[in-house]
This record gives sequence, structure tokens and C-alpha cells, in this order.
Amino acid sequence: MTVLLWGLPDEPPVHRVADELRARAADVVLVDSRAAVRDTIDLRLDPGADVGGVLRTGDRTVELARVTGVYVRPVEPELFPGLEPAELAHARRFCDALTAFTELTGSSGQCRVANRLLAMGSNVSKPYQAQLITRHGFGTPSTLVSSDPAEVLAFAGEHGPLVYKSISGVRSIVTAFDPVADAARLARLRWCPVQFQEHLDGPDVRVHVVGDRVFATEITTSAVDYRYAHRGGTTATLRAHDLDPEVADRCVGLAAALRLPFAGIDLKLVPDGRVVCFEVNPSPGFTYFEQGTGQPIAAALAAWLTGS
Amino acid sequence: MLLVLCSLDDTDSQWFARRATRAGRACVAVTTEHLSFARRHDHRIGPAGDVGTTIELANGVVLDGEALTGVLNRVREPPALAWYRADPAERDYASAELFAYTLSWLAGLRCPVRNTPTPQCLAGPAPDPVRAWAAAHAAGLRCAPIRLGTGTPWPPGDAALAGARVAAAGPVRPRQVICLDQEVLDPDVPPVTATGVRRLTKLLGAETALLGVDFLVGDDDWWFAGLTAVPALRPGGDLLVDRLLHALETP
Repeated sequence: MTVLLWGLPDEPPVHRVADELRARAADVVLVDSRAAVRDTIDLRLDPGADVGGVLRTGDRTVELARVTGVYVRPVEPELFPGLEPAELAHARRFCDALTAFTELTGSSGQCRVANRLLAMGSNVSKPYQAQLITRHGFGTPSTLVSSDPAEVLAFAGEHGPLVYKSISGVRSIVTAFDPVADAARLARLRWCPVQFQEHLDGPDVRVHVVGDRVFATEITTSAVDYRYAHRGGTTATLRAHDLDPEVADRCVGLAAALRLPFAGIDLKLVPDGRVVCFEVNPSPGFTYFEQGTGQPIAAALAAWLTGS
Repeated sequence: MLLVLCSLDDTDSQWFARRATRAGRACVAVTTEHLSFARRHDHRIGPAGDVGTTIELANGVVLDGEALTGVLNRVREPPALAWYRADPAERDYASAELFAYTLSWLAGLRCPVRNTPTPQCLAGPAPDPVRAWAAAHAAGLRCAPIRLGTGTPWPPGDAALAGARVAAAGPVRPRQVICLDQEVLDPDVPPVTATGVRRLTKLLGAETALLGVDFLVGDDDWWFAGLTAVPALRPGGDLLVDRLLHALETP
């Protein structure tokens, strides 16, 4: 078994999966995003043959046809400062070709990929993804994307407390909307619509789906966005959550429908009984939840990648 | 109202809008530039996923999702022209936001849309070029071997074209085949190639889409050279206008 881990080797999710794969005696190939300026790849597609070619990374030379699993968590080369144009061009070609490999390999089942970039795409737009989510039995918060301050204030009057957050996956921090304190800034909406949502009460539950396995974590916090609780001087407490089996099945179905073998699904258990889904993260930073609960998420992902 | 969405330099879309108007349809062409300076955007998602969108343009035209009867969508870039001179980091952020907004708006329309956007391309199904090549091969189209990597000078989108150039013996000419909702709108395409094109759109999950499939054509060989969600429209002539109007008016 040869498994590629594409990302930053010292980043906790990649590091943890590497450890778990080695514990299973898998041949682990770390493809460091920082080394894309030096690594090389020659991808070959021949009619009638499986995707093949050669990857050279660090001191490893890998026949791509022998790769049996890929964990995809790369950092785009454009995000590394200080690269010369020629270095950036090389790194971009490397990323494009390796992405093409991950998109195509395993189409006949011999290689497992978590996750393909094509499948990760739905997360580029939260309201777009929300439309997909609601087809799988989950509710979504009432949402307004608007460039009109008057409409935002009317929406707040209709729905009560609101939060706002990015429409895309960029700079995605959930923030409480204060109609008074934020009033002066509302005029800026004219230049770019902003996403507002009704604030919902109830516990947050992050569900990690790995294949058909489910790990649910309940988060208790007074922060609007538990991921950034420390910034507001508050804390977030994590504990394993016993998810309703029917909801768990829906989570597995949703991840499968989005073609995501590995997914982080953000749920809100509203006191009136609704299960609302905020979003599906296609590249979850799961170690925060693993450390907080002891749930064996990395082990489950390693097991899935190796088919064991 | 029929809506044609396109960039300012997409003269083929504006040609189609003129033809639709001449055919008696209420049709308005709106460019990405128009959308970039819209007076108001209002896009709502209800708790069950129901979508409603109203956009008021600077010239007073109102695009009400409920009033649209069909949309020809050829938007390739998000409407972010207002951010053209902004700090690059802010411009990139605004572009990502406007891409996400436009994707949700167009995907949520209930009327016929050609093409429904995808997260990879606002203009419709345009998969990774290597995936398109693999689908073309699986569909029975003639595909040349391709190479892609740090040693190849071409971008991924040109890999199939580069491979076809190498494989085709003798002189070749480029040819784009328009396929709308699995119908090949070109009587001169060899039957085996037309069948392959139809299979290709099915394999890509693009059964209801307007696509252009590019070939390099030699003496008897049609080599697959790429795929676009924004094909040239004028070569399709009257047949394309008739078929496209029908598609946009058939729920």
C-alpha cells in the first residue's frame, strides 16, 4: 500500500494521518506543498490504460500507478510568499498535474482519494451548498445575501438576532450582527453583497463522516463561532455526542451524495427539534475535535485510505 | 422574460439575444459588467432551501427570478469589475464572494438555464481537462495520449490539444461541435463522432447543457482536443437558435 499525503507534513491533520498509516505498515509518501517548486511530476494518459506517470518528491520516486490512496490537503503555491515567477510557474504546473492525477486515479476502484477537488467544490459557495444540503433532509438557516442596508434591517426585524459570514469559503468567521453598532458600516454593502442568517439557539454538533463511519462532537460555548472562542475571551468545551442514528444515516448519505468520503458536517440541534446543517467542510481540520474527545478520526481515515 | 448573461466581448451571446428578439421573444442581454455595478442584490434561501433572487441594475432593469422564463448563462467571471482597482487581497476576496453569490443565484433559478453553473465554472459543466479527456475516451471518441507535468509547457486545458497535434498525421483543421441537450447540432459530423459526443455529455452528467466539443480533424480522423461550456454560437445558425429557444422555453 502506497499512500500519498499531499499538504504540509507538520500540519496536525496530515501529521496524524501519517502516524496512523505508518502504524498500519503503509508506505507513506509525504508530498510537501512547500516543495512544489522543486518536486517534479510526469503524468501520462494513454488510451486504454490507467493513469500513470512518475512523481519525484524529496528523495522518493513514485510510480503513480502503484499509489493506492491519497489524502488531499494541499496549500496553493500562490500562498507562499517570495517565490520567483519561474518557481511559481513550476509549482503551479506541479499542482495542476498532481490535481489531475487525484481527479482521475481510482475511477476503476484501485485507488482511494479523500477528497477529490471536484467534490470539494460545493463549499466554494455556502448558499449554493445549502441548496444541496436541503435536498438531503436537513434544514438550513433563513438566509439573506444582500447589498441593501434597508433589506438587512427588515430581515433582522423579521428573524430577530442575525449573524453574518462570508458567502464563499474565504475569511469565513461567523459574527453577530448588531443593528446599532454596525449601522454605520451597512452602507458598504453596496459594493459587495454580504450573507446574513438568522441566529439559531441550541448545541453545535460537528459530525465527521469517514466512509460510512460517523464521529459526532458536541460543542458547548457562549461564542458565536466556537472555532474562535478564544478570541472573545471565552472557551469551547467538546464532548463526544451520541448522534441519533437516523441523523447519522442522513449525514453519511449527504457526504456520499457530495462524493466526499471524508467530511465535516456542521449541525445545530435547534430546541424545537429541527436539525439544521450550516455547511459541509470537505477538508476538515479534524484534530481539534479528536484531541477534545479522543475519537479515533485519524485512525478511521487511515483505515479508509488503506481499505482496511 | 428571457435573459442572456454574458461578458461584454461575447458577441455570439448578443447575436443570439438579437435573434431571440427578432423571433418575438422578450429578451434582455445583461453583461458581467452590468452586474458588477448593480444597484441592488437580494438573494434569499428559506429554511427548506427555497430560493428567491432580485437584482436591480443601474439602468433600472429588474431581474426577478420569478419573472424569468429562461436563462442563457455564459458568465465566465464573477461580476467583480467594481473591485478592479482595489488592493489585490481585497479584490480577490470580493471576487470569491461574488463568484459564490453568482453560483448560488444561477443554481437556484427554477426556469430552464443553459448552462446551470458548477463550482468549477460559472458558465456550466467544464470538468478538469484530464477528466474530460478520460470521459471522451470512455465515450468512444478518438483520444491521443497526453502528457502533463512539470516538464510540459502547456497548461492543463491545452493538454488534449497538444496530444492531438502530435498524434494527428498530416494537416488538420480545428472544428468545434455544438451539442445541446445531447443533440449534435451539426449534420456534417460523422455518425460515430456524434454518438461519442452524446455519450460524452452523458458521462459528464451534462445531459441538459450547451457544450462545445473541440476536435482536430484530419483526413478521416476526428481527434478529441477539448471541451468548453461557452461554445461559439453563430456557426450553429438557425438550427441552434430554434433548438436553444425551445430548450429555454421548455420547463
